[in-house]
Order: sequence, then C-alpha cells, then structure tokens
Amino acid sequence: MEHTNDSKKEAPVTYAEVNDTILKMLEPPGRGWFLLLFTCLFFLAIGASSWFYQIWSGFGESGKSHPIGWGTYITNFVFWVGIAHSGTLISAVLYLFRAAFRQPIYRLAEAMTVFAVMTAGLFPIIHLGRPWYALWLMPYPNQRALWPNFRSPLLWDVFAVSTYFTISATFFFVGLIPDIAAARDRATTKFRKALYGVTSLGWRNSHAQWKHYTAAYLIFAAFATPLVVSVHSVVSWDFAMSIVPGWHATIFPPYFVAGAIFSGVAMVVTLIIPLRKAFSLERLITPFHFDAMSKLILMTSGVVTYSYITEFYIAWFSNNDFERFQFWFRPFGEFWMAFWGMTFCNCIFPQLLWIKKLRTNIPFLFVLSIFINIGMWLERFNIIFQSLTREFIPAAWGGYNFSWIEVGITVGAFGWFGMWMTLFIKFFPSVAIVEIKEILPPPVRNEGHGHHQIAGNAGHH
Amino acid sequence: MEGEIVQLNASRKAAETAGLVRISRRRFLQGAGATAALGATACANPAEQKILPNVKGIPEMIPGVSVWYSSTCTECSAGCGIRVRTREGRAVKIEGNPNSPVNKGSLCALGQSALQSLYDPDRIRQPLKKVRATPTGPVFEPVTWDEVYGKLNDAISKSTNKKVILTGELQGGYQDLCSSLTGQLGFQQVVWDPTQPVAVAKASELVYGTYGVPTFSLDKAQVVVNFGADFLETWGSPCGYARQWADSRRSAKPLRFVHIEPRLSLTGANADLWLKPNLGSEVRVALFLIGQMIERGRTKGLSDDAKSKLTQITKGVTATEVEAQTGIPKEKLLLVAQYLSDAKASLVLAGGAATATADPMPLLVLANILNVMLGNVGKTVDIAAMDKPASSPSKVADLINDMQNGKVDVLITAGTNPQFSFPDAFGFEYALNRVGLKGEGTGKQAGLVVALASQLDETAQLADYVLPINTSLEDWGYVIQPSGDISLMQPSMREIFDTKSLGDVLLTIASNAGKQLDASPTFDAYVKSRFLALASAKGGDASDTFWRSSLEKGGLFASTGAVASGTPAISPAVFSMSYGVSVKPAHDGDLMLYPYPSVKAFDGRAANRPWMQELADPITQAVWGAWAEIHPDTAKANGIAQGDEVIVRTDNGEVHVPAYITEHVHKGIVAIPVGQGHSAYGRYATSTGQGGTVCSLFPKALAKDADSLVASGSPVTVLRGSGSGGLVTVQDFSSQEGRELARTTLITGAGAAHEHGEGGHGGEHHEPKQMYEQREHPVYQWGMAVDLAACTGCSACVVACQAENNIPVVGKKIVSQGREMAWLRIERYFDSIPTEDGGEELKVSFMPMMCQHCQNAPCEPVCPVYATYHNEEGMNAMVYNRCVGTRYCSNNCSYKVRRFNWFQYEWPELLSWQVNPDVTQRTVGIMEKCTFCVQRIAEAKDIAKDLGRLVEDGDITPACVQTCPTQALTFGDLKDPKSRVSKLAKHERAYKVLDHHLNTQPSVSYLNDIRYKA
Repeated sequence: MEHTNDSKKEAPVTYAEVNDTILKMLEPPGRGWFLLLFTCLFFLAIGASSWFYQIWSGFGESGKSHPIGWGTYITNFVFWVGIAHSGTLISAVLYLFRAAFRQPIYRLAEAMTVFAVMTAGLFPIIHLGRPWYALWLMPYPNQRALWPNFRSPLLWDVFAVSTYFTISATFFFVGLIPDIAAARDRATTKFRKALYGVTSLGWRNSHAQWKHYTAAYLIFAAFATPLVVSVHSVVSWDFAMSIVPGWHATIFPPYFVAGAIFSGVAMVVTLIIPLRKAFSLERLITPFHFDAMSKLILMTSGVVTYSYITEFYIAWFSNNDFERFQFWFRPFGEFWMAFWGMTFCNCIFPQLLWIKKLRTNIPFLFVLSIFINIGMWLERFNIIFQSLTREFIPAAWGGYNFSWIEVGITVGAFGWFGMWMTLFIKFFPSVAIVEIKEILPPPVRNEGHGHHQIAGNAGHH
Repeated sequence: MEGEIVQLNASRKAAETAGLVRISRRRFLQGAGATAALGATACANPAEQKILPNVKGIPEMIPGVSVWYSSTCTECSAGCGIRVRTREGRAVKIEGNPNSPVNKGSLCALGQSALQSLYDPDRIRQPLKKVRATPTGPVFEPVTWDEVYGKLNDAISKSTNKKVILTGELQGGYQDLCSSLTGQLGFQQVVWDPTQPVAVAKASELVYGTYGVPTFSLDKAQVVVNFGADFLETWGSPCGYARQWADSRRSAKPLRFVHIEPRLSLTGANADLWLKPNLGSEVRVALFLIGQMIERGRTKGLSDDAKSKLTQITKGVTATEVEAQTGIPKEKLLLVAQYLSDAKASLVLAGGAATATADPMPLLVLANILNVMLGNVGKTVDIAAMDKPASSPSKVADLINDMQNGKVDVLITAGTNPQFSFPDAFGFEYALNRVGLKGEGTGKQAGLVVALASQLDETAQLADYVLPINTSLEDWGYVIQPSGDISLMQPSMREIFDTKSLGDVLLTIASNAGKQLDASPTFDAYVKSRFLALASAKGGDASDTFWRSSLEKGGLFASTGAVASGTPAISPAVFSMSYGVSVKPAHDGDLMLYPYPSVKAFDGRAANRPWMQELADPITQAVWGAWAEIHPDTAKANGIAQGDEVIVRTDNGEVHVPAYITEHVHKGIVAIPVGQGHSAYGRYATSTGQGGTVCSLFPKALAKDADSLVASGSPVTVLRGSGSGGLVTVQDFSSQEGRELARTTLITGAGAAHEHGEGGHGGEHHEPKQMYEQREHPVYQWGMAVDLAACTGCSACVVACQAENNIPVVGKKIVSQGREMAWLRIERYFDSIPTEDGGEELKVSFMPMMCQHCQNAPCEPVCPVYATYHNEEGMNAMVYNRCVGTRYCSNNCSYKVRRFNWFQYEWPELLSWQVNPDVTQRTVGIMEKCTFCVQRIAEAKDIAKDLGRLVEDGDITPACVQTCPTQALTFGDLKDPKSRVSKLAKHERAYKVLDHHLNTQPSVSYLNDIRYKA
C-alpha cells in the first residue's frame, strides 16, 4: 500500500483511510496493550484461584445461605447475558432495519456479545454445588435412560444460552471474513499470515463470494434476530416460572429484554470510548454514532423504568400480601440502598440524555455508561437477592454473607472478558472495514490516488 | 493374606459406613475389588492383622437388623423408660419405651442426646493420674485401675478424719449401693444436684406433711395456675407432664393454664395467660388468691382453725395493693381468682427459677395451701407418690467447710460437678485442695481426691485420680419411681473404653477394704438380685424368665396413674411465716439476676453434646452457648444492642455473654440460662465463647428456711462489653405478618363452643378446581398431621430427626451464616390475640416445620436433573446422587425446608459411631430435606410384605412422631380413610399452610392451636 493521505482534516473519510486506521490497530502492540492484557490475566487468575478454592473448600465459601440459594453468581450470569444482548441487536436487528449508525460499532458489539456469553456461560457452572456434574444438564443419551427435566427453566437456559452462543459466534465470524482477508493481505509475520490465512477461509473478494456472503449474512441476521428476544426471555423465566414473590411475574420477558439492550448498549459505550481514543478512531466513530446510541439508551431506560413501575403497580393490584410486602421491602426495607441505587442509575441519571449536548459529550457518556452498568447489575441483584430474603415464611427470612470469594470470581469474570477483548482488538479488526466502506462515498477512478483501491483494498494481493 | 485384608476392609466398611449407600451385591463387589487393589498396592502396613469370619454369628444379631434394648434414662430424675436401638453392636438411637408409664414412649431432647455422651469424643478412656498443674489446666497421665484402687485403699485405711463421697442425685441401684458403702466404710455421702427442687420438697413437708415433690396430674385439672415451674421443660417429669397437659388441651374440655413468672419460659409460652410479676412478689399473688378463695368459700380442704388463721393472714390484702406490689393489673388478678374458684378441680404449682430466691418458702407454702383448700390433694396432687430429692446445698457447704479445715481425708466425687454448678463464692476449689490438708506441715498422710466420672469435667480436673465410669448406656441399674414402678437399666453395648460401672467401682473399693457391700460379686448381679427382691413385693417372681421379660419390657410397671388420696398435715409453722415481699431490689430500677435451666443445656450436663448446642432454644431461637435476656429499657439505658457482648456482674463475679433483648422478660431482671461457660468438659462445651459461669454470680448464701441455693434475685449490673456477634439465632423474625401460618382457635369458657380465631380457616375443606390432572397414588399416600394445640415447642422432635437422619451439626459460625442443617425446625412466632375486655394478650406459637411433601410441589418442576421428584406414594423424594446443586428447589420451596450441604460435614471419631446405617450420609454440594423417614417406611413395607399384607396404620412411625412427648405429630396413610392421619386431616381444626394461596397441596395438615380468650 503506497497510499498517502494528503487530505485536510475536514476531508471526508476515504476507503484508504479506513483501511489504514483500522488495520493499524493490528500492528505490533505497545506497552499499554500488554499492561491491559496482564491486568486482565491478573484478574482472571484471581477469579480462577477463587473458584478452585471454592470447589476445594466447599460451596459455602460463596455468600449464599438458606434461604438465599442464588446470589452474586446468578446476578453475574444475568448481567453478562444482558451485556451479550446488544451485540446481536446492533448487528442483526439494526442490520435488517438498515440503521446507518450501526456500522462502526457493530463489530465491537458483536465481539462483546460473544465474549460476554462466554463469560455468562461460566456462571451457571460456577454456581453449581457439584460443578463436576454440570454435564448432567445436557440431554445426552445414556444407558440409564436418564434425561434432564424438560420442565425446568434451568434446562431451557442451557439450550437458550448455548444456542445464542453458537449463532452469535457464527454470525460474528461470518461478518469477520472479508476483514480478515484484508488483514491477511497486509500480514507481515508468519503467525499472522497463518492465522488470517486459515480464518479468512480463502476469501478472494470475488463477485460470487460477495453474493453468497451477503445472502448468508442476511440469513444469519434474520436467524439471530429472534434470539435477541428469546435468550433473555428464557433467562427471565428462571425467575418468572418460580413462585417466589418478586419473581413470579408475567412482565419479566419483555422487561428483561429491554434491560438487556439497555445494559448492552451502555457496555458498548463503555468499551468503545477508550478504544476510539486509543486507536484514534474519531473520524470513523463520530458524534453522530454516540448521539444515536444515546437515544437508544434513553429509549430503553424509559422501557425499563416503565417496567419497574408496572411491577409495583401489579404488586399492589394483585392484592397479594406476599407480593405487596416484597415490593414494599425493596424500597423501604433493609436493603433500600440497592433499590434506590438502581433507580438512580437506570431511571433518573439517563434522563439527562434529553439534553442534546450531553448526548455527544464523550466524558459524560462514559461516566453514564458505567453508572448504567452498575445500575443494571443492581437491578438483577434486587430481583434475585431481595426476593429471596423475604419469601413466604417469616421464620425463614434471612440475609446474605459477604464473601471475598464471590468478589474474586466477579472480578475474574471481568478479567476473562477483558482478556478476550484485549486479544481480539489486536488480532482482528474491531471495526468492520467492509461495512464502513458501504456508507462512504465510493472513490471514483478519475479522482486520483484512491483509484486502485476501489477494486483493490480487501482483495488486493 | 490378600483376601483377608479385603475381608477386613470390606466388612469394616460395611459395618461403619453402610449408610453411605445401600450396598447392593454389585456395589459390594466393586468396593471389594477396589479395596483389594488398594490393599495390593498400599505401602506395607506394620500393624497388619488377621481376621476370622464369625461363622456362627451372635445369635441375636442379624446384620442389617436393629436390636433394641430397654433401659432407663438417667439424664434427669424423671426416670423415663428408653429403648436403645443398636446396629451391629453399636447404639445408634435412643427412643422412649412405650411400656413406661412415665413417658409412654416419648423422650425429650436431653434424653435422646445421652447418645452423644456415650460417644463423647472427649470421654475419659482409662484411669488417669494428675501429674502436674499448668496454667492451661492440669496434665493427666494414664495409670492402671489397680494403682488407683491401691492408693484409695491406702488412703481409706490410714484415714483418721472424714471420708466423703460426693455424688449426684443417684438413682435406685447406685444409691442403695452407696448407702451400703457409707455404712460399712464409714463414708459420709453428700449429694449435690443443682436441678433438684429441694425447696419444693421442703414446702411439701410443711403443708402436706411429707418431704418430697408430689406427683401431679395436670390432665385431671380444669385450671392450672403455675408460679414459674417449668414443667414442660426441665421441672419434675417433663415428658410425662407435657403429655398430661397436651391430652387435656386437645380434649373437649381443655384445661385453662395461667403462668405467673417474670420471664417468658417455654412453659409460660404455652399458657393461656402469662402474667409478668416483679420477681419475688409472686407470694403476694398467692396470698391474694388465698384471700379470694376464702371470700368465695372455696376452703373445703382446710380445717376451721387453718381457715381462720389464713383469714387473719390475708386480711387487708387487696387487689389494688397487690397490683402495686406485683405489677400485675388487678383485673387479671381477679380473673385468675375467678378461674380457680370456678374450677371443680385445679392445680397450683410453684417452682423453677422463680423459687430459687433467698426466700422461696412463703410462695411454695402458699401454693400448696391453695391446693389443699381447693381440694386438689388426692385429685390432681398425689402426696403419696413423692420424689424425695437428697441433694442438699447446706451439706455441700458443710463439706466445703470441713475440707477447708482439713477435716476430710478422702473425697470421692461421682456423677456430680460442683466445681461448675456450685456457687464459686463457697470456695469449693480452694477447699478441695485442702483435703487432708495435702499433708502440709501436719506430718500426716496427704489426702486423696478421686473423681469417678465419664468426662473430664471441672471437678474431675481437680482430682488427684480420675476413674472412668460407664455412661448410662453401658451400665446396669434400676430406678424406683415415686409410683413404685421399677425401671431397669441395662447396657445397650459393651464398654467402648477401659471404663467400669460406678456400681462395680464401689463394690471393688469396699472389697479392697475388706468389706462386702453385697453378696453379689458384680454390679449386674447386684442389680438382678435387688430387682428380683423388690419385684417380689409387687407380685414378681424370682425366676429367670421373669428377669428376662422384665429386662425386655424395661422394668416392672404396675402403676395405674390413679392419684392416691392423702391427708395433708399443715404444720403450724406456716401460720407464723412472713408473707411479705422480701426479695426486691434495693433501689427502684435495680436489676436482679434470674438464672434458669434450659432445655438445651439443662444444668450444664448437655453442654458437650453438639446436638444440644446446635438445637435452637425454643424461645430465643439461639444456638451454641448462652445469652442474657435483657428488657429493651435496660438495654437502652446501658447502650446495648442485640447481640452485643454484655458483662453481667454481681458482687461475686461476672459473666460475659451476648445480649438477647426481648420484651418477654420483666424490666427488673436479667435472665441467663445456666449450663454454659464450661472451662473443661470437652471441645464443644468449652468453645461457646462465654466468659464465666452463671454460678459464679451466686452469693455464698442459702435460702431462708430452705436447704436451697440463692440463684435468683441477686443484685446485678449489666454493662456493655467489648465484642458483639456472639448471639446466633436461627430465626430472626418473630411476627407472622398476618400470614396465618400458625393458626389459633380462640375459645371462651370451658366447654364453650369453639370460635375461630385469627386463623379462621380451620375446618375449611373446599376442594379447589385444579387445572391439571391430579396425581394418582396406587397403594399408599403418606401424610402427617401436626396438632399445634398439643405442640409445646420442646424440640424433642428436632433432635430425633437429627439422630435418625444423620443430620450434621455445623457449628456456630456456619449457623450464623444461615446454614443450619436441621430438616425439622420449630418456628416460633410472637403475635397477639384479643382478650374478652377488648385488650390484647401475647400469643406465642410453636410450629414444627418440615418438608410438606406437597402434591403440587414447587421444588419438583424446577430441578433440571430430576434429583427431586414425586413418587407414587405421594412423597416428594430426593435423589442425592443425582443432585448437581442448583439450589433452585430451595429457592422455590415456599416452606423453606430444604437444606444444602455447603461444606463436607463429618463427625469426629466416636461421634461418628452414632451414624444411622440405614440413612445415606450426604456429601458437599447437594440438597437434602425431610424424607418422612423413608427408611422406616421401607422397613415397615418389608415387614408387611413378609406378613403378606399391606402396611397398617401405626406400622410406620417417623422419628419425630415417635419421640414427641405430647403426640402432637401423627403419621400415616392418607388413602386409608380410617387411618388416624386421615381423620386428623379432616378435623375441624385442620388446615394446610399456604395452600389457599399457592395450591401446593401439602401432605402435612396442621390443626389450629387452642387458646382460651383471657
């Protein structure tokens, strides 16, 4: 590539610039990247050793008790599944709706989805009393003719999460192919050449390939779209199908899906802001994109707030003492801080996005997105924990035991997720080259230096 | 050789841990194969042993089949008959003996826990000699029996001064032998047992004419007025009295029960009306009642002379004045008077902690006089069948004096722990160290102290030599009941260690000294000959057949339960007693000490039994260790919060315990359960974190006119200590929140029509429409009924369940994390019920809560691996092996009765011998819960199958049902309309918890509690 960018600051982004900016991210890492990776690995080591200690010493090392059978781990599970949501939403649903703002962010959102599902999927296993028998949740043929219980929402979970992982990973990978090919063409090291050579599946940028590719991408997008709704609906059934006051609610599926999108978009913002800064993607990811994401956040915040209000209304309307007590307990009981913290983070704080200036104020958005992440974690904690502390029998009401092991495992999950994200941004294009180009004005042959890239960039060899 | 090792390992495994899995042949072979492989590869074992199969076998032992031995419980002096279940030679469970008229097959928590005394991991295993004292306690060294016998004989023969044997309240055989010993060897016997109601016995002497505690018949009374006697817990014969009480309470004409005590005891919690007087002022209530009875003409039992003297004494005792003195509203006082005067038969009781004051006699005497004037003697009070406690604090005080003055050369202690339970102020330890003046400068032979004990308790720690004696389950003996019945004791297994029967030790001591206490050479022979001699007076014969059948039955039981008539002889001394309030604080607002024995630790003897430590106290719900019950006002004044460590201090000492703040103690008292704070006695007893014993707070004083200690009423201060968190309760919330879990039927006057109370749903038998097809139960459908009117909350069932089902004890820390493992818990609720005059009274509910075995069980559909499922006998079954531990079932269980194994729990060696081989021991990470004792169901079905019939009503008795002193629990087949449980499920008081909200369709029915509207 003998491209020279002589355009002025305000000049429109060119194809060449796209290639340069994005593929530059794959260049040999600097100290900052290694620092980030080692931080993630350190957190992961904390998490892994915490988990091993928990297995070795007994599940009692976690903070669960009687009556609180589920706590931090399931909260983390729902939190990460929620995070995983927006990826598919942005990549598949918005693709089908041809939303223009998705292009620069969707790759990162998809990566986030896949890694978040990989993180979420660990928690149901971590939270088992006997994780070494996790296999028994799988319907595999065996000589005892013993099958799992298909009536149990936990089993639906197994299917929902594994299906979601399979589809989102496939969809993610398919989307990556042309970009990997572009990276392959610029690869210098032996390792990268081999890596991209294999993973680009022989992409040669031919017409036929593009034709099949576009069709396949559309099919996968269509296939993944219902999963956006189904996964979190199924996760919400873990609660809604039970008879625990505070869990047993028909509003849960849409409520959970909205919350998932809310938290997922917030997480995308959290990740993309530092990334944009670190790799100077300002010209690709522009205020327009942040404005669009802010609107999405504002909308989903509204849906979530509405769901909260509906929960309270229904608890009152049901005339059920147990429900009413639970919904009195959340704001005014022993753990009121968790409830009001959630309300502030998810309902009140995002309302500032009605102000247009703030929608494109990057530092503000970063802070807000962190608050939303915390708020959404608290939401799950409120639902899971607060409901379990006050069930039907007052004699069996109880509390939680704070445990460092749980903190370690929670931190470890961020380490695990961060490790994959960190590796990903150095090895694969985190912004979709192809799709960015789709929204750029195509370079015209007689306009000069861009010309050989029209046909060339991705397929150039 | 290899094969032999396999045999050894395999058979030991089978014997010890057959409970792990029901060993099938295939599994056994697998295990044997694995063990063979291990044996082949293991490093050389220097202690390799050859074993030989027992080809003939022990005639009565069939592997896998229980052998039961009848015996007698010696935990308290009630003398309940017990049956000890043994498996392959090991005692695994104690149950009540149905033949015994005392307990009729039931057994309290304490009695059941005797098993953990047998298997106490800290038991003394061989004779010990003290070699030196260290700051952390004395160091003992094993010696031989002969060495100790020799020393003792030497000391006895050289003794020129007193020789004393200090014993606990010995029963039957031991006491007879001990009397011979004192007679023949010149020993003096001193008896110390802190639980004996000696003041009550003394008051009987003054009013009824005989020293002793009468036998009471609560079931024959219409009204019971009780001044503090905790007859449902530790006082008298708790199993027997609880049964009488419950039989009456669920009858058509329940007795009305008024409890008067400054603290809400378990007994008081079961009363229709609990009155909270100032400590020490109860005597005025009794006097007021006497005045009222005279006024109302209820003086039939009194002579004219006595009547006129009492009229004189009660003159001017008005309700207003008594209200001012006692703090009890006069309306309530008049109400109680009304109850008593209206009742044809009544019973007035006094005892317990309220009568452990410096001046207990006036109250005790007046209570007896009330019984006399109301004509209760011969109706509800049997003064012919008296229990005569020999315990005498004054004699212990004299002994201490003698020891201090070097007047005692030889001291033998047996079955008593005065260093722990006798007030420190008397200086027992100092005195004991001066036995024989230890030869100091006297040129005399040093004195000798020998402790005969099973545990190295505080007193044994002080001795020069310790001789290990058998626990009650390894020993022979007999107990003579007040009714004349003779209950036999026999060993249920051989001695585990190098221990001997107390009787044999006494016989040997005598024979070494050249005396023969009895013609029988050994104690078992002695028991047999004495029993046959005693029985011949009651129509027994001297044949071996009779002896054997008596052993099988558990003794000679001939009493009918009839109350013998008696003529009381009121001593003139009672008319010159002072009936004023003599026990009161020096200044208004000062606090008084109120120690009480609890169902958990009793007097301290149960402190090293993990079952009892982890058993939740029925009132406070606290586990492990003691606490101080403090009124909120006191707590506020001293800046004390719930669970804070407090220093309870008297002039004599101080105790550090956590605070339990409750409105259910009188403002003026600080109530502490005794029996905790051991400095020795074993790992569990010493690990409760309590600083100091309650007895260290008592003054060096004896009660006025009575040979009893001054425990209650000492001036006391309470200070905030340094720590907190010592209080661990299994139930932190006490209100039902109006959820109608434990329901009550309120009734007005005796025999009046039942009226639905707050519960109101009793007797509601609507069949709601079901959306889905209902389950079919082809043969049986097991179910249970719990009569809340009979449940006293005594928690015997909890221990029975723990013992039967190998439920681990997890310790204070893990309980504090909400992880106790009990499958059955007693929920305790404080609510209020309306009174006749529009006021409110406290209503305490006790509710045994176990798996409800719902027909629409919320736990079942949520388990992803079918580890919990519904079986065709209507039970919610749990497959431990299949459980992966998602805990979803527990979350979804509305009754919160599922327990999760947070850790791998194991018993230390010896306690592990108790494990029931019929029940799987669970591993870490799995869920467990009540199974309705499925192993007993399986056993009953097996037996029925052998007999070619179906299981009949009564064939199956789960452990909780079996042990319940009041028969509040009933188990059976709900498909059989004639079974008792079916009938109870259709009882007008029956309801199912939460069913009308959740349609869970539990298999357990509850019957409303019954309370009189006060």
